[in-house]
Amino acid sequence: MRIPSELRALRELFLAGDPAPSRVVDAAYAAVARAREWSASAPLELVCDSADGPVSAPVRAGERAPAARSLSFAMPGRIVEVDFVPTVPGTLRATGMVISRTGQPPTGELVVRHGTGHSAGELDEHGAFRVDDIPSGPVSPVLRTGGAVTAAADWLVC
Amino acid sequence: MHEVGESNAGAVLLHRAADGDEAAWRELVDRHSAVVWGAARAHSATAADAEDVYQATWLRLAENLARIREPEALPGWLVTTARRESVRLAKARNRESPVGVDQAQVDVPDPGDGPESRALRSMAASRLWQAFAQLPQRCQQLLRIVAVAPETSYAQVSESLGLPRGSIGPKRRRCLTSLRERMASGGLPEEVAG
Repeated sequence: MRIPSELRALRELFLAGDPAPSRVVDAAYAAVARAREWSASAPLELVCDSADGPVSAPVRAGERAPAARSLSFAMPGRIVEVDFVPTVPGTLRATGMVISRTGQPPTGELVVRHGTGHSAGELDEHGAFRVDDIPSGPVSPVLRTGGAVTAAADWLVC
Repeated sequence: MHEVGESNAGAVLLHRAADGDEAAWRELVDRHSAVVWGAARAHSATAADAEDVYQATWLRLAENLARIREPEALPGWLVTTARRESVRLAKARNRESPVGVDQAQVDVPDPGDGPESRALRSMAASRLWQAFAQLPQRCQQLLRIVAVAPETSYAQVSESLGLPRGSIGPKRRRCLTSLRERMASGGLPEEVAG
């Protein structure tokens, strides 16, 4: 198909005037090595996301900060509920609970992978966890038991 | 023949990347970086959000390489993933999802020829941007995607933008006509107006 001259000019304009910043391209190059580090035995499937609910009114300057991003993930025999709450600008805290369908309290830790590394929180006797100082941006919760990655969720942006 | 060759090369690249070949992965990133960035910029409220979406899209692909069976489906997969994540992020932050390039960023680099030509090109780029910026948001999103990813099929564009498949061709024509009209009224130099 012939590409109209306006589209070619727009393409040049976008590529030359607004390219992807080199730091994010470098992060993209590194993504495949990160994926190998964290290969999981099962997916942690996103089943509910508060962002998919009705859109509320825009937050105005001076109003209360945006509410938590609430996510629910499922894997065989378990549900993982995670709330990402903004703390200081650019930083999140993740709190939540791992629920076992057998009723037996799960053990291990909830790891949040993020743009620059990962942060982890131990599950308590009820399966609850808290993970602090997570940089906002791309995140992916991972359930780790016995030192091994049990299940990992797809990346999303918080 | 050319398309078959391209498709085979794409399939080989995907397989090599899925098998852990980092050089193949880098080549995949280089080939499709502009598509992912274009989709993220078209649908994100800010450049910072687009950076996060861009990074998340590549991280997602790295973990789902084995699931992409058709190499020609990859641009569509990337555009759709970036768009969905941008829209979800905008909703999560209770923002609208405007489009665009920050005006300060539309600074086309020196083409390396004479000062008159540079001045003309700069003026042309500025007028093109002004005409583009005046288009409705949906037109900006569509033209940005088809400009940076001309190899993407109408079916893929339709899926990635959430528009009916049959509407893509007519909408593309209307948006281009509207862009031409705005450029003409702005007096764009002929070499860019085509």
